[in-house]
Amino acid sequence: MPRPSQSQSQRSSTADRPNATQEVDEAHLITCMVKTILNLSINKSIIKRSDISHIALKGDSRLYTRLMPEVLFELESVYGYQLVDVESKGQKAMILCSTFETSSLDELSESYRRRYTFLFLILGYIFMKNGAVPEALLWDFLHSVGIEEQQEHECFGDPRKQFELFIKQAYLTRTKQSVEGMPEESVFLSWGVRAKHEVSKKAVLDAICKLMNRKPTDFKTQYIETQAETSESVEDDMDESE
Amino acid sequence: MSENVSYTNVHRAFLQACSNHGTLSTSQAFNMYVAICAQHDDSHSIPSEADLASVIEAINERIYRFDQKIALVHYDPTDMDFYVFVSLQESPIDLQQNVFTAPELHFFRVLLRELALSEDHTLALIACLNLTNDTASEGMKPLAKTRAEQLLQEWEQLGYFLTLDDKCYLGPKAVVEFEKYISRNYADVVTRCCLCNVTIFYGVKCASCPQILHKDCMKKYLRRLTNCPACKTLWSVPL
Repeated sequence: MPRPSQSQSQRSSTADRPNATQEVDEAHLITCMVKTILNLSINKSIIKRSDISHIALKGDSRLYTRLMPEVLFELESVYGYQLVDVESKGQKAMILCSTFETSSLDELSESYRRRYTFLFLILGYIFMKNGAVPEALLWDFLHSVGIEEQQEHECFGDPRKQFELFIKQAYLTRTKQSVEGMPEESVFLSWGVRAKHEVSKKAVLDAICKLMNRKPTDFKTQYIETQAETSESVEDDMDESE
Repeated sequence: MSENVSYTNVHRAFLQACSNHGTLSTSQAFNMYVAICAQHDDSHSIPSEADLASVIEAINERIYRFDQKIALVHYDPTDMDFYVFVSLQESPIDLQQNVFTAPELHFFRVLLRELALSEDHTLALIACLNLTNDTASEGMKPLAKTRAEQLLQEWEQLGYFLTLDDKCYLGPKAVVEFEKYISRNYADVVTRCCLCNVTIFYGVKCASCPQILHKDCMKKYLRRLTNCPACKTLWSVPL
């Protein structure tokens, strides 16, 4: 079991001294919250509000609400990260996303690059299928490009494991939908909250087109969506520079 | 805090990329910086290495509060310079984290221990994998060798270890992040470079005495003096 961090034991001695200034305490707690969020997000997984409270604030939820605006400010202004809410079994949960997209693959390490390529294939396929696709069909598609669900791939490793990781990281999301003519609900895959925030539709469309040797404009619906995306981000940039 | 230098998405993107990579060679870092400027810098000025240095300085001013730093280190085993993203106060190992399981963390600590204790701070790769036998505890199975191999690769990517000629070394990131941890826990088996007083694992050895020193430290020293700083005999080892 991991040992509590040094900052936690420091904090308990500060709390015992009644004349410690509140300002210094709050700055320290904000630092703890930021560090906790960063540490829990190293592998991009979904983090729970209760975890942050428990680890950084010793469970004090009033403090959480009061300090969070400053925490969000630090995450955005220093790191360019934002916390995005995600649905997680009724609990308050979120993911740490970048406020801008990773466009250049140079920024990524070799293992990240491979994972992103695999991810783009999946996201691209879903995008071309207008946003939602039965899970079984996805594996059929991957099989057609040489990726087998149960076999180790020389470039992408264990596809099933990587796929489940993408779900954990909120790049992909599973929803149950009832399909006409089918007795049970089917599991559909769509872009997760993280993909919607971090992945550019244009980049994905470009990647798919490269794979299929086609032009982006060949896919009207998708192309129009990417154009809408560009004008959205131009507006965001304009807002930022004010 | 430097007020007249603006902190932009170039800084933020570089910071994100640094923390994702863990360790970057200076040329990797510069190429990344150029790509980031292409994406985020509206002024489209041609980036220089001096610009990168001041970007890193500005980043370090802001992340100091969170016990983080981007440090430039000279790594003696490969005679290369690296930018390393470090967490200063504690190592990521001891902080709350959800990336590695307890047996995996234990394997990491065991590797650190064996590398600290070995005389030249290297370990044969086979010996590293055999260390998984140490990770069995309380009836739990030891780490599988295949998983250990994967972990070593992951950790090497981040810069914690380095494999050279079938031997495992402490990597540039471990040398910086775990310097205090190792000097605290293995004080009687590690030495300090007598020029910079930092714990030294790899460097140049004097021909006449057992002292090892950082290559960079010796280079600076030899500009003014010609003798070994420890035993005072004439320095004869080429750098």
